Amino acid sequence: MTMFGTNQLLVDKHVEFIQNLDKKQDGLEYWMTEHLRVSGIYWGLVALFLLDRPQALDHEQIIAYVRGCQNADGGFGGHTHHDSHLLYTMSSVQILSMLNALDQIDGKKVTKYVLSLQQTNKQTNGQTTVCGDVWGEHDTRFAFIAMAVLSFFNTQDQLDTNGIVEYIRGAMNYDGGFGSKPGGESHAAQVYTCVAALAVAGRLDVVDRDRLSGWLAERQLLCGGMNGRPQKLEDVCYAWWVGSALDILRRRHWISAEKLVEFVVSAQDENGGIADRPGDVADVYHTCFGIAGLSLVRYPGLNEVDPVYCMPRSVVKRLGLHKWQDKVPKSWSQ
Amino acid sequence: MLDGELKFLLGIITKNIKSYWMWNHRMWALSSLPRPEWQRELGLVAKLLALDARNYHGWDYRRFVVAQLKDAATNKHEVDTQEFAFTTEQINHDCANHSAWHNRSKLLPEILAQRDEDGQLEVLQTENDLILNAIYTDPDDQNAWLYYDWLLDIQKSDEDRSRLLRNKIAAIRELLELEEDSKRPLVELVSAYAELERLQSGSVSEPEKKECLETLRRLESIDPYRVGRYTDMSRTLSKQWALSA
Repeated sequence: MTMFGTNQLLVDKHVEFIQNLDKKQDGLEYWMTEHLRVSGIYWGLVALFLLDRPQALDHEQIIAYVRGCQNADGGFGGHTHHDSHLLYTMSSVQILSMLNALDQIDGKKVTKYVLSLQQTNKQTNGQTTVCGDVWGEHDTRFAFIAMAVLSFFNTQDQLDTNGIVEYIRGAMNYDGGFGSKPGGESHAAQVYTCVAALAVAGRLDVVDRDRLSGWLAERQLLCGGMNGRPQKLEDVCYAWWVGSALDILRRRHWISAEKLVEFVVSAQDENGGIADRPGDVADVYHTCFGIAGLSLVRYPGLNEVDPVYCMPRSVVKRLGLHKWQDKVPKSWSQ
Repeated sequence: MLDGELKFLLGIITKNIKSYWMWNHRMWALSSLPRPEWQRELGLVAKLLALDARNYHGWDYRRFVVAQLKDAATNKHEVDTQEFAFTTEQINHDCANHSAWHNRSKLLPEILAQRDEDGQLEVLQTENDLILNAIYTDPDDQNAWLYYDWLLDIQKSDEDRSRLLRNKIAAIRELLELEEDSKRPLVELVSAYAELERLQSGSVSEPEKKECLETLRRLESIDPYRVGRYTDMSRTLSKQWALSA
């Protein structure tokens, strides 16, 4: 049962939902998510840009807030006076580039912060890890973020790209998928970060394209939604994690776009926002990745999203970051 | 103070079993102790995995603990053997536990490295039997087929690979007798023949090749969401085998 007509995206309601996020300051959830406020803003902003309503939030206010989240070490915290972390550094850089304000921060300072998290003196098997923050957690997400963030400032040559690529290769499994670190089980979100990282590095040759495409295509369930790994529940956000990876692999057509759209549309809240699955409570994270997932399958009326950077293609092009496409293996184009 | 931290973390991890940073903090806390009790930790994470056998944070953490144990062990092989046995236990309990199969795939090369040639053949035969059992238990479980394909990858010779592919095809034929429109076995049939032909040109007969293309056409109706994949495979194989689609 769906409450909506087929393919009816409630654009105005979603815009309102995003605009109202900052007004719920009397709710517990507002304060419980303070540590990732910057990412929340990124998710809301991407959704608005893809919905072609970029002016729905106050740009100057956001720029001032994000700049206020930068710490002395050059990194960004999830909120003002919060410790730096790569996750929020990425969101901050993405926000500022969408709002055409990247030049308002010192790229050298951000580069220095990111490089400080690269563990070049702990290589095993030629692998170089990148930590999320000073507390030492390493993960393929952080390897991707390091490469992506530095590409914004054209300083990615300062990274040990070969070592990072070896780390990512080490995270590849027998099913063609990628885990959170070498040894980690394949998971669609990690697949996206690894494939996107390899795209930025121009090293998509590392991927077992057929095996991975097959694994990704099987994420689509009968309901049209995708799961993150076998036997798990469908979730709207995988429309992005799975869809973007398939897009980079030039295998978007290996799943049913029509059924995916039906699923995402049915997960909308009639009062605005998209939930993880139909009937659940909406949140800005699923709103962002649901809309991004719809953009990937060219849902009408949405601006095109870049599958590596999860930002509008127009912004990625303006920054000259679209060149990763030139490094996709030639044999992959039909 | 760190003991208190560990007790606290155990409490909150049990309630927040999917929190990246809590697991990381426990890792840090243990690593900061002068004499961490890694064996006890292994027991604890086994209990947490009993609550949620597919929790990949738990499995990542288990791999971290095992690595510490191996580091400190005089007999490192013993650690791998015990861990391999743990995955066997998990799989015997539930052969659809992908996390256990995944962990097993990381340990199998270590187990093989410990044995001589005869020993390796024995291990691989046992592995083959185990995965075939999983395939027969649930022919739709994609993971079992992927593991089978990986066992093919780690064979020593193309001869061994071809032999295993013929075994795979025989198993598929049996499964299709029970249910002729079973999607996964049909997909695997085509990829097995494709791989066989790739290993040795001319080993797949013309009727078998025609059967593959016909199977892909049937799959377009049986599994319509993935029609794009099947048409791609048809086009590729038709070209490779110089057949008309």
